[in-house]
Amino acid sequence: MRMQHARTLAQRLGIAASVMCVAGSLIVSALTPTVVHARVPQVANTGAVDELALIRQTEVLEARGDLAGAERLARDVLARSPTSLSSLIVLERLLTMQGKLTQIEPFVDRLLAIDRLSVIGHQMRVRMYATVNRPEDLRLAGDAWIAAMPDVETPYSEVARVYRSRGDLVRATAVLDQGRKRLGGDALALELGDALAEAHDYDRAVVEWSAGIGRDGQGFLPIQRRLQALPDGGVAAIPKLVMLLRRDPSTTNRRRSASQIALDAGLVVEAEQLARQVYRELPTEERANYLTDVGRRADAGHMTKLAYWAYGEAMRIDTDTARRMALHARYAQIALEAGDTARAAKIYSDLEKAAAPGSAQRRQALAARIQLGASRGDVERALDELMVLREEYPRAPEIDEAASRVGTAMLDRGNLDGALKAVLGVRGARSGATRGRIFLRQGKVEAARDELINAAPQLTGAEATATLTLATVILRLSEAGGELIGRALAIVADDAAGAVRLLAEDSRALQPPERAVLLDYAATIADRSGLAQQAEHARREIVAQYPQSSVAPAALLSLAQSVMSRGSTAEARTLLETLILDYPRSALLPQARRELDRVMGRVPGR
Amino acid sequence: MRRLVAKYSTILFLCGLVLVPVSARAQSLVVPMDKEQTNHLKAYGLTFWVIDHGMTAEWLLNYRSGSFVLPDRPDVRREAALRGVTVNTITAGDLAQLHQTIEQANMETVMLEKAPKIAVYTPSNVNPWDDAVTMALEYAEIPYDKVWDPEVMQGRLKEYDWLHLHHEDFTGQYSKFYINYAGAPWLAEAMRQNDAVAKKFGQPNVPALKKAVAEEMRRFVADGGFLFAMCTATETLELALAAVGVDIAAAFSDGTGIDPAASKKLQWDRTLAFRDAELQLNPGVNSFSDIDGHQVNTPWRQPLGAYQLFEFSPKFDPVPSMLVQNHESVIPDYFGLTTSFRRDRIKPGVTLLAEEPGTAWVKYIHGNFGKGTWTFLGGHDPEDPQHQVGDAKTDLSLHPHSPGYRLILNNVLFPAAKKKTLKT
Repeated sequence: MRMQHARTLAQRLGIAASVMCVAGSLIVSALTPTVVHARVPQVANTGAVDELALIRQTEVLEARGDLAGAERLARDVLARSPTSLSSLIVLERLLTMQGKLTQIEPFVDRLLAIDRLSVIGHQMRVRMYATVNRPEDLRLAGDAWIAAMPDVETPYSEVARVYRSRGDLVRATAVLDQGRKRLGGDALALELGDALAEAHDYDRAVVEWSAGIGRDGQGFLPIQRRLQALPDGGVAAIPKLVMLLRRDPSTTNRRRSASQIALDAGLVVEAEQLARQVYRELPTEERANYLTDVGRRADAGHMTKLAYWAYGEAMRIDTDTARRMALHARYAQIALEAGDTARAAKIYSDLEKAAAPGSAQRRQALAARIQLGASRGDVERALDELMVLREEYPRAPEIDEAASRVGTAMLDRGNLDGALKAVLGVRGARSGATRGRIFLRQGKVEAARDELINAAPQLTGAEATATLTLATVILRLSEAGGELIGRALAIVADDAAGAVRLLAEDSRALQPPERAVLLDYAATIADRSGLAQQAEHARREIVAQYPQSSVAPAALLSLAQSVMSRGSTAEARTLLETLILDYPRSALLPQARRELDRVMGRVPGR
Repeated sequence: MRRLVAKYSTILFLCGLVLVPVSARAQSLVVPMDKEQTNHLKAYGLTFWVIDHGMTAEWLLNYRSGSFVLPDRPDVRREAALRGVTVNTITAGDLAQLHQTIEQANMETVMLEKAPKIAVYTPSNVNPWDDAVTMALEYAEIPYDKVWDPEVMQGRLKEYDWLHLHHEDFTGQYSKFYINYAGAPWLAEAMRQNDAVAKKFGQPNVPALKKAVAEEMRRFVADGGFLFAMCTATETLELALAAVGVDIAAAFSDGTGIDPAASKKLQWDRTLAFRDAELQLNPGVNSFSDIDGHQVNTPWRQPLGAYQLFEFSPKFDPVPSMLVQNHESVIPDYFGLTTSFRRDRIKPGVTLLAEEPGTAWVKYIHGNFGKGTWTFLGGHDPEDPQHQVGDAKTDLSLHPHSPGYRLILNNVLFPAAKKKTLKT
């Protein structure tokens, strides 16, 4: 069976190459008859070179817009040489452009009368009937082609392709099934899979694609491309395909294909099981490369545990020192993400020792180890090492981040003096922002505001927004309000809901305008922490209790957006209309009107 | 010069208006349509809302780029605020003075009394391109109904005052999209739907169905309807009307090729706007005829320029005046499958509303037929010069001052004008 499959594949490739050759480059095909056509005697009494010259002449006439002249010339060539495929293709194009494609029929008939196995002839006939929309003739032409060469895949796949392009998936599948029945084995597996997938019959499509991958996994890449192109991203097909590829009798190569598909699709459990199994089965010399590949794919897909395992094993068995060093830093970060801080600290420590004294690598490893120490709770030691880092490398760019981390850890533990020691005198936006938070905790609102405003422009993304928001908020607070925000910030990382609650409840003792500002800030924290309900609750309180406050319009807009995300169009409309009508001078009016248009479907949604 | 004087007197008058405080004497709201307006497109919607709610409005042609006067009522103010439309308060005395100014200048007032019932001709399937009129109506909050071939064939057009056609191909060739999009699901779906409707109404094929639909639309205008068409709908409607008993559709859509002598057999006495056009006989060329001056999808495509609106005297030509009210008189052009209309293909007696100076084509035309009127505007989307199949819809909230979209909305309001003022 394997032999038979190999033979049909070779036939298929030979014929497909002939089709592509003729379609892609007329001149080459005219002078180089393919395997199929070599069996046909050239009837022409005109030499190939003369024929080529005439074809060139038709192209010149066509370019000048003389379609009738070009057509005449092509007809002349075909009259003398009915098997001239290039002329036939030129004539087909010319007739198509003039809206009389059906006039190609006698020429195709003549070609097929001489060469009943001409792929071009059959293909052209099928294509013509499809173009002029003559379904019955199309069916007959397809049957004739299949009857002429029933033991090769080409007629089945090409006829099915035409039906697919017409959206007739039932007929396309029927033709391919007919081919499968005749040729046996896994013939036409890719084509059948494609047609079935297009008809959303994923159960049968994956069976065919599984066959198309083969026992040796050679067909993996084309299938991978198909999976990526599926309209639902492969959600329906991929789990089934992975299951089929694992099912016995499987092979290591099929399981390897399955592991890659599972990794790319984010099927964590399957990917991990398969990766471990394939790793055990692979020859020793292939293992390191495979693990590195698994590590990278898992890393990209946020499958931290699997990436951690793969990188760890790769570093253990890989004999290539340069590659091991390259993996080290990423491995340490993943160790952190996986929660294995001890392992990460050990890796950084190893890196620090391995790097040359005074080198950038050593400095970076030390800084990373300090940050790690701060986050692991070993804060006092981290502060001592930070002081060493600051002394040994006073201009090191890593100091800002490391000092900020240590300062924040100290602040979170209520050690304001230690926190200030970590960041005092350090240049940089992050340590500046941390100083701002320390000052807030001390009730020094002015100093905090200055630090935050200076830090914000040097930060990027969400960090910049958060810092700027905080700076703006504290402008409107008393010392008591600033101190309250400082307390909330101290717990927000570990207990965002608690911070929101603290702001909402402890602000009751403050003046109404200040309370509204703090409720608004509580809503912002809730938004960032995914606490939609708490955010909505805080904003509803602003709208109901403090409609005159400066934050009321923004609260209305945010509320409208959040109720709209739940599909409450009517309430969103009311909220936006209230904002527009009750706050006619608000800077948010243009945004509110745009949002209202979106809510009402008057402009495209986001 | 006369217009210049009018503009200056307008500005002086406006200065007076601004100084008038809101008081108990306030009786009307002026919706300025010059550059003071914060949302030109929604201003049309606001005016439509007023007349749709049984009130009357005035359209001040040539006064501050076609401003409106609306009753000063809380509900009108509320709607204006929600839509972000600029309105100025005006007292009864000021209004009288304004009318006097208009009487003495090249301006005119037109009463808008009855909201027209609007139909948009569009299929139920979702096409991968946008429709400028539908977007303008949605954005301006003007209500409308959708109609398609079944409704047209059932004679339901008579229920409407105003009919809009957009990117439609009345030759039945699916805009020749098969050249580039054969096999695309949306095209297959469109073909399936059209075939089914043709069968339902006993038509042998889609081109025959579209000819019958075009005939119904012609009758709609003849009986007093207002027809507004854009893009390919303009050109192909005319070709379908002219092609009585002539095959002008490629084999793809009806199984037979185009009659090679089709151009000579077209009956131009049956059309509204065009004459003597040559059909594009090549099914592989994405063009219908030589009516379009730009031929966007052919190797002989002409580049985009800018078109200029003609100026009319509203006292003598109120209808063309209404159709060209705008705060910009020169507008950047935009492509469509039919972008413009060749001058030598336009019938005598048709009113030219906008042209690209120095070229062989015009952009915007208008005419009467029977008891009704028609207006054709070339191009697809005034704010997307090269809208492609599959492109995202234009977000009109980003173009609230679009002069191109204003032309569309002028057409929507024009049927609301009190009949006695329509002198042409």
